[in-house]
Amino acid sequence: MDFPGGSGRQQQLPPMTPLPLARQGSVYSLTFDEFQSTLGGVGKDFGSMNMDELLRSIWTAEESHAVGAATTTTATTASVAAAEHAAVGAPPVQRQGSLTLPRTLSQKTVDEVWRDMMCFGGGGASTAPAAAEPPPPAHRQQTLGEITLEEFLVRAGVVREDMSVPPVPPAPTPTAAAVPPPPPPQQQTPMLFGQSNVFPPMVPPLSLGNGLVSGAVGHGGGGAASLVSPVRPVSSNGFGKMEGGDLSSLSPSPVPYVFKGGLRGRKAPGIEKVVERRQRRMIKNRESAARSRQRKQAYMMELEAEVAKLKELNDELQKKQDEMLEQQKNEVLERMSRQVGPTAKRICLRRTLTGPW
Amino acid sequence: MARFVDPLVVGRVIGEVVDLFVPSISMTAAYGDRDISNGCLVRPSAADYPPLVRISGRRNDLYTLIMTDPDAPSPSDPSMREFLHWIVVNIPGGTDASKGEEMVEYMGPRPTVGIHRYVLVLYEQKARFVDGALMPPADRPNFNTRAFAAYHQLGLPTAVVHFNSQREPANRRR
Repeated sequence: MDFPGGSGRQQQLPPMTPLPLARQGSVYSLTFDEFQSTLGGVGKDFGSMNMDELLRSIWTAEESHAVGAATTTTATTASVAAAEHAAVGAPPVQRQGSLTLPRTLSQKTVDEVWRDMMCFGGGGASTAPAAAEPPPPAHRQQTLGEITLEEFLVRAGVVREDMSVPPVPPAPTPTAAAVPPPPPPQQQTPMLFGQSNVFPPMVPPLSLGNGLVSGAVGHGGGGAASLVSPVRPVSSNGFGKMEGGDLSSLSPSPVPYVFKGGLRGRKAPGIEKVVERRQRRMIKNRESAARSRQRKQAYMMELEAEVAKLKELNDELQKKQDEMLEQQKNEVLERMSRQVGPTAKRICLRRTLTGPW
Repeated sequence: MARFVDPLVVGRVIGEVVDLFVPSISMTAAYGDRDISNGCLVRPSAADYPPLVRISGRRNDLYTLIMTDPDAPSPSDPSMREFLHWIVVNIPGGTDASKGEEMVEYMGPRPTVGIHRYVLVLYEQKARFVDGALMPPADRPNFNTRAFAAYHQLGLPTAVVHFNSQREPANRRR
């Protein structure tokens, strides 16, 4: 597959570091070439797409990928087939609400962004290799077609590096926004819910690490991590994602400080308080409901036990009554027969006595 | 036997107030003509006066009755657990609580927040408590039935009955 713009300007780039988790069945791990073939006959080249369109097509593919990947863990092949259908189908309308690219960026074509990247790419990528990264693979020339979607998005500043890498000086990329990716389709290694994440501020978009995928793995376990921060210039904009998916949507403004993890402490105090109070009330309510159920159940059991006891007692008493009735009847019969016996005898006797001879 | 214990386990009386035990004595309690079965609801106004607590057992054995509220001041935050309502000691077997000696005066249920459990626990005494041998609890809040029983060597309970009570909404009690 050829990218008219991208392939035209091949430049020596520091090699992108392959991400240990990147190959685990996410559309983001596909290269542009692969992605293009995945989408099949969409018709438009990525190079001429603007960023908005690109993101949209990625999400579309990703959604279908999620469907496809639900059954398989090594989802790449499955997603290829699934993506083909979905990508042509209806665009994900609901996603668009959370799409906040800076105007400058969203209108640019992929090629332009790529070109920008190339211009600054020389020093940027190598400045902050994430600590956990494996050594880079063999050097090679990279074209737009070869770069993975993830890398591209990270570099373009659409996605931010959010692992705990040491803060580094801001990168010179002029266009950057803080739109994290939509929730990743499949979590290979879901984290525990309470996972706390520390985000250093001012991580430049060019400091490539486990940007997209690792971020996804790190946060996705706790729910959808689709946090959207409005556009800010690159350098001052560190943001945190949180594990409570619903909370993230409440964050109205980019949060410029480092989060020390935990659910709280990442919003304006007022909102935080409200959310916290609401949550506490929710928990209390849940507890109280549980208690109520418990009480009901306990009472129920008590009554059932009582019923069982009374039934038993009733049976016993009934049996006793039956026995006594029987006994009474027998007694009466016996008395009767006793009465009958002597009378008969008497009659008999009387007869003999009153015999004429 | 487990059948009689189950409601207590589900109602968390066993666990939060007493340990698992095997009932060996039957105890019935009644406020006026209303019998108390585990988990039933009693209006506080109906429980102003001590209930009639009848127990089985032999005449020579003596029993201690304790009534506490593990849900004070509110079930979701029982910071006063347990709130002591009543202690009667030296109850002869086969009689009722009025034949014993009231060590801590009866106090009716006064649930302010939520639905509270009120637990009547009966222990068999090893011997008669004479004045001086007893350590009356200092205060009603934060009483601990287990600790009390352990201190007086009462062992495990022989019978437990509990009921629920909730603050009456409309007309407050006098």
